[in-house]
Amino acid sequence: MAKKETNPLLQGSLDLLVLRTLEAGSKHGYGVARHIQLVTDDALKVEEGSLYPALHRLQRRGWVDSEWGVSESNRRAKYYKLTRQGRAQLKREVAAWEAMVAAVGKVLGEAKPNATLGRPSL
Amino acid sequence: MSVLSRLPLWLRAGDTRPITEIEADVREELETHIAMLADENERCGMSAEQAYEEAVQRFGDTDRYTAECTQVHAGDRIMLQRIMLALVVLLIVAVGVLGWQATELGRGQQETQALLERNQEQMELIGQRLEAVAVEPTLNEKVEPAPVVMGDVTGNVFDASGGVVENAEVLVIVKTWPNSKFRMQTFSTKSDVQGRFALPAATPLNRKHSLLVSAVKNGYTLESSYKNDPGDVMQGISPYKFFLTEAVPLSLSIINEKEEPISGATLFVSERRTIERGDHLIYHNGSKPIWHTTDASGKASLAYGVKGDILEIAYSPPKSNKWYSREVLVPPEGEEFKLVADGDPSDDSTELLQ
Repeated sequence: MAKKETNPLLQGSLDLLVLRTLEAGSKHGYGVARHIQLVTDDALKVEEGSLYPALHRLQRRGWVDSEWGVSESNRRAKYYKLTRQGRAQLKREVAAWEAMVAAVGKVLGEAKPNATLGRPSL
Repeated sequence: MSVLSRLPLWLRAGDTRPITEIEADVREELETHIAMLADENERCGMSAEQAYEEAVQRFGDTDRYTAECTQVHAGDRIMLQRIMLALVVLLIVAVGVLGWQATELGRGQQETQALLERNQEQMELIGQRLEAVAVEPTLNEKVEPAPVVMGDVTGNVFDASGGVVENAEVLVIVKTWPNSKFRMQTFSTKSDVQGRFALPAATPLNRKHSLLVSAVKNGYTLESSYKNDPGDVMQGISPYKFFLTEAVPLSLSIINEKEEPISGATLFVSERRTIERGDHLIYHNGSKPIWHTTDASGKASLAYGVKGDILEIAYSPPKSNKWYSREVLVPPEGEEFKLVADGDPSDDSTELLQ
């Protein structure tokens, strides 16, 4: 998905970000991209196209659903929304992410007691 | 749904639309994204052209992402379709190979059938020919053997001057090989007042056979004729003509070890070996008509050869199955031979089979 020269983004992380973004309500792909860009202060320098395989994969897994609608700029756009399974999956992924961050945090905390690590801002 | 969602992806129904339709759908979605990016860029002051270029650059390779997204929906199907295609090709090839083999097999069977039929025809032809020439068809049991045709053994017995010899014993030995087994039959008759004899239906004409015909009369030379006939060409039996010469009488006496004469002993000439005209045999089987018996003084007079002939005399004590034999060179008339019938029979002797 992401090209080698760009900031690599783990597939799992991207899935988590997309699911989290859609938790608030349905969005088209462009909206999802803008939201992630906004909340991460443009930290994920990936090609925006790489978002789509992830979106379609989530849809294939039944975690998001999609339907064509009309955008605010009056364009035909495909809107994605979280399904019930998607919400459950989001919970599991958030829990797993927190557990991992906590574990990594503990390891890093031992080395640098003063370091402050918390949940990534989503 | 939750059960379905736990199934492996490739087991789920997925997107059932045609792949081209999925791809068009994805492409439209991605182009919408680019258009939105371009709109945004334009709002930021870029020219339409510049805005679009920047949007395309920011989005990345549209074709690649279109393909990736399409693959997500239809990838399993593409794989399944490829597998199916491969299986179908394999099936067609297999059916083709089987069909070809079946055709070959069928042709082979036809050829075999034709060959068998041809063989059958040939066998029938051979069979017909075999029947015609009356060969015992031992090589091929399937060919019905032609019915056996029996032939008569006929002939005349003359003396040296051409006169008829009446009451000569005519002994006939018929050897045949029915079903590849040896068979020997004996017949006997006598020449009539005109010297003729006939044994009707004595021998098969269209089967392999051997005939030993002997004309024997005490006082005359023992004459015989031996013929082999393979039976392949059926031919009748030419009438026999025996010419008997007057023989030199031999005075024989059978004695035991103590030189006491044995009366009632049986004796006959089993062979006459001549200097010039070959050997004449009498088989023990069927020799009974020419048996002699010794008189009270153990003597018998036998005349079956001329001077120089060697006669083999077979003899047996009374009420005995032991047979002795002794060769006697026919001497001038009047010599007496004493044949000892005691101890172990000579090697040449055989037990009489009646």
